[in-house]
Formats: sequence, C-alpha cells, structure tokens
Amino acid sequence: MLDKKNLPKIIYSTFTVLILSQILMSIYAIISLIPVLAVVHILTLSFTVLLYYFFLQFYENLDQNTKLTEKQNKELTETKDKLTKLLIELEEEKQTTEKQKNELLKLELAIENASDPIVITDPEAKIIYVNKAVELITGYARNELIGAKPSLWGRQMSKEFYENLWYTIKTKKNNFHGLISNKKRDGTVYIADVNISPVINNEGEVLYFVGIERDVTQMKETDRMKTEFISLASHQLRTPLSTIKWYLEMLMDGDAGKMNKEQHEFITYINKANERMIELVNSLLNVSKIESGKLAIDPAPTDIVGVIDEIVTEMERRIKEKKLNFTLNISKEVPNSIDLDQKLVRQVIANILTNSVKYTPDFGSVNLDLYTDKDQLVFKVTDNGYGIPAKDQQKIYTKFHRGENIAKLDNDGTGLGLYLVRSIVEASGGKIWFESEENKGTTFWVSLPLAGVTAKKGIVSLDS
Amino acid sequence: MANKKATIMILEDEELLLNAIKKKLEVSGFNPLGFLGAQAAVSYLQNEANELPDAVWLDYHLKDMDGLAFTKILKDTPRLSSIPIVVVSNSANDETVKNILALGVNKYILKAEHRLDDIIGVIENILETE
Repeated sequence: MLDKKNLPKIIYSTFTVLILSQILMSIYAIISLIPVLAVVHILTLSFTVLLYYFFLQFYENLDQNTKLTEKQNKELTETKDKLTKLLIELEEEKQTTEKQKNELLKLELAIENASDPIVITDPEAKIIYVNKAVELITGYARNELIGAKPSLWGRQMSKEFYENLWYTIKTKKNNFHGLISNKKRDGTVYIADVNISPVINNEGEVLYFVGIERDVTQMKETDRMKTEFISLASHQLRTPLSTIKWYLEMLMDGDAGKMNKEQHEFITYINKANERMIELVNSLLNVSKIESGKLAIDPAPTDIVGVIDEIVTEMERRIKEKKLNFTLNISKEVPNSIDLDQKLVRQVIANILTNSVKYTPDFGSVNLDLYTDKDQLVFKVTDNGYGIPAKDQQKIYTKFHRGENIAKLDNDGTGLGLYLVRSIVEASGGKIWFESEENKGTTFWVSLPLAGVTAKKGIVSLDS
Repeated sequence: MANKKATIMILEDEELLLNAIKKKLEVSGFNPLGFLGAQAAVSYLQNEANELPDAVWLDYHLKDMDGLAFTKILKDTPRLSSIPIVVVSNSANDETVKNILALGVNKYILKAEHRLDDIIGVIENILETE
C-alpha cells in the first residue's frame, strides 16, 4: 500500500499505524453515524496522508542526493588516482629529463675539455662548434672561429689534397683520415693527424661534419730524430769497425809482411772479436729499425725453395764441421712462388737454423721441413740439441736474454736473434712457436700466409 | 800495353780506410787513385787532360757531396757516364739504395759486411764483363 522507498523504518511504521488507525476511526465514525467525528477523522487521515507524501518526497530527494555524492566521490577518487599516477609519471619524466640533461652536460663537458681539438661544421664547412683545444692549438678565439671555415688555419696542403678530402667526406660520405699541415694564428705550422666524419640523417643527407685532430708535430720530430740516429749510428759505429776489419784482413793476408804463428793467432782472435762486434752492431741497428716502426715489408714473388737451398748451402760448412745429420724435407704442395719479403724470410729462417746448428752437439741431428697447412706456409726446424730450460722458455723472445745452459757453453750470442725473428714474423702477419726440452732438443715452427705477406711502406730495411 | 793496370778511383773520406783500400788494390794489381772528397774527384774527372779511371769505388756519405749527387754528375756527362761505379757504404737505407741503383750504379755494397778481397772481386767481375 505504501511505497516505503527509502523512508526510515520508524517513520514508515508510525505513518502506517496513524493512517490505518485514522481509516478505522473514520469507518467507525461513519458506521456510528457520527458525522462530525467522521469528518474530523477523514480530515486527519487526509492530513496524515499528505504529511506522509511530503516525507516520502523529502527522503527520495535525500536519497538521490546521497547517491549523487557517492558517485561524485567515486569519480573524484578515480580522478585523484589518475592525478597521482600522472604526478608519479611526471616525476619520473622529470628525473629522466634531469638524467638526460646531466648526460648531455657530461658529454658537452667532455667534448669541451677534450685535449684533442674538435670542430663541428655545417655541410658547407661553416664552423658551428669548436672546443677549447681548437682555440689553444690554432691561436684563434672562439668568436673568430664560429662562422668561419677550417681553411682559416689550413691551406697548407695541395689543392688536390683538399679536393680528395672533400670528395671523401661530402660526395662519398666516408670518413677521412690523414696527416695535414695546418698554420696557427702566429704563423707556426704544425702537423695534425686528422679524422673527419660526416654525420648523416635517415635520408642520407649530411647534417654536420665532425673533425677531430691531434697535434703530432712532436711525435713526427721524434720519429725523424730516431731515424736520423739509426742512420748516424750505423755510419759512425761501422766506420771504425770497417777500418779494423780491413787492416786485420791485410795483416792476415800477409800484405804487410809475413807474421809468425803466434802473431797470426792473436790477429785471428782480434778479427773474431771484431766480427762479433759487427754482428752486434747490425743486430742492435735492426732492433732499433724494427722499434722505430719504420721497417719496410717489401713482398715480391719468391722462390722459397731456392731461398732455403741458399741458406742451407751457406751453413753446409758448419754442419759438416759438427758432423751433424741434416735433413731437408720440402713438401710437394709448397708453391713455386709466394709473395714474401725475401730478405726478411731469409733472416728468420737463417737465424732459427743457425741456432739449431749452433746449439746441437757434434753428431746430433737437425731437420728443416717446409710444408703447407691450410692457408699457411710452415717452416719447421727440429734438433736434438741442448734444448731450452723450462725456466728460460718464457723469456726466449726477450731482448738480450740467453738460455742459461747455452750462455755457459759459449759467449758468442747477442740474445737478440729470436727477438728480431719474432718481430719480423709478427710484422709480416705470421706466427712463431716452439717446443723444447732441456738436453732433448727443440722444435721451432714459423708460419706465414700462403697468400703472401702484406706490403708495408717503411724507410728502413734490415741488414744481414 | 796489354797488361796495363786498371785504374780505380776511390772516394772515401776516412783517411785510414782510403789508405787500406789503396794498399789492397795495389797488392791486387790495380792502380789506385784515391780522393778524400768528391769535389776534388769531380775536378780531376772534368779535366780532359787526365786519364779516366776504369771504375769508381764510391763511399756514399762524403763530407762535401753525397754519392747520389756525385753519380748524377758522372751519368750526366757523356764522357764519364760509362765508368762503372761500385758504392761501398756503411748505411743502406732502402730508398737511397733504390735511387742510386736507378741512376745506373753497378753495385751497392755494405762496407762492414765485406772483406776488401770480396769488394775487389766484385770490381774485377764488372771490369771483365764491361
């Protein structure tokens, strides 16, 4: 009967009792034929119903309002969550940006304070950035450099050189590396080792050029002095040695009259010592040449078997003197001609073979094998000689090091041979290794690429 | 004059070495003609009244001129261009050796590595084949 909707229970019950009682009272008044009472009760009933209606409306509104607030609250919470999330994201974003900013700053500081001059230009070579080192090396201030072109302190090389440089970086879009003479503001010319790289976008267009240079004037000067020293020393040291050698030769040949037996014997000793000195000077000069980094490797088609035969012939006398059992095995696969630097290969093989012959006792055996292994040409020299003591094996390629056992046997060696051999082999792109046991013998292997060794321009070559 | 001694011009700025070479050439049957400097040797060669040597023994590093310049003078002078030259030096820079051999020098010998006898043997060979 009554739609209680959201009315509180007590109000609903009160109104129900009131309305029901008023209905009952009205019916009683009508039945009892008391019109005044009936009218009063009907009016009271109407009033109660009206009041109930108002309550109903009021509570309905109240309920709707409550519902609305709840919805709004829910929405608000959601918005708050979203905002919190956004704030967290923003904070994270801020931190990332901060981190990136710091990274950029670090990078900028690194570039700005790098000891090597760094220049960034636009595609037309107009300078858009220079670091401090550029100002220091060129003597120009930053405001003079920005907007200018690197030719401000360049223009020392030929026209063809710059044409090639631009062709490389702008047309071919490749890196350029080379030595360039530049001129400082005060007119001093310096040599720079320069690297220029184009920075290219996704469309393949050049955005910038980044140039890094290094002043190598001092280094070049040191190189020049070192080379000059080598040349000077070779001349100065050898001149007195040649004088001794040639006069001794004449004495021994009897060109200045006949000597008695003892005089001849003494002169022979002096000559032997002098030859050792010449050998030492040659070795030292070779070491110096190798260490100058200017050793030339000049490969040419070489009849390697012929070279081996020549080396063996040169050593024949010594092999016979020691009554060694010498064998030479050359595999049929060894090609007739390989691109090698004959002088260097000769030096390597002769050195290892000389060691074997020298450090194998009389009646011992020495074998030289030449064969191919995959893409390598391999020289193998085996002997059953004195061997290398275990504790010396780590040091055999060290300059001036001599095995303890052989140093006791003779004091004829320089300790430079294997150092030179390894330096030559490695500079030629080859490998050297050995196995040895004291008093049992030694085997040395040297491998060089069958495809030939790579040429290297240099200004010095080794002396025999 | 079938047995006329061959004249070898020697350019060597170390007097001790020059004397050794002269002595050895003499005992080996040659007529040595020694010079301590290149200028004096060039003057001698350019004087047409002088007899020309059969070969030149040339030290590369001379005080007044290097071997390359001396060789150029000889090779550029038709009267002297056919005289064989043997360079006997104490330094063998690849480039130097290449350059001087390209000028027509017959042989480049490293001084300290060879006996006088060996070098004289080289000269004898050249004279025989000339």
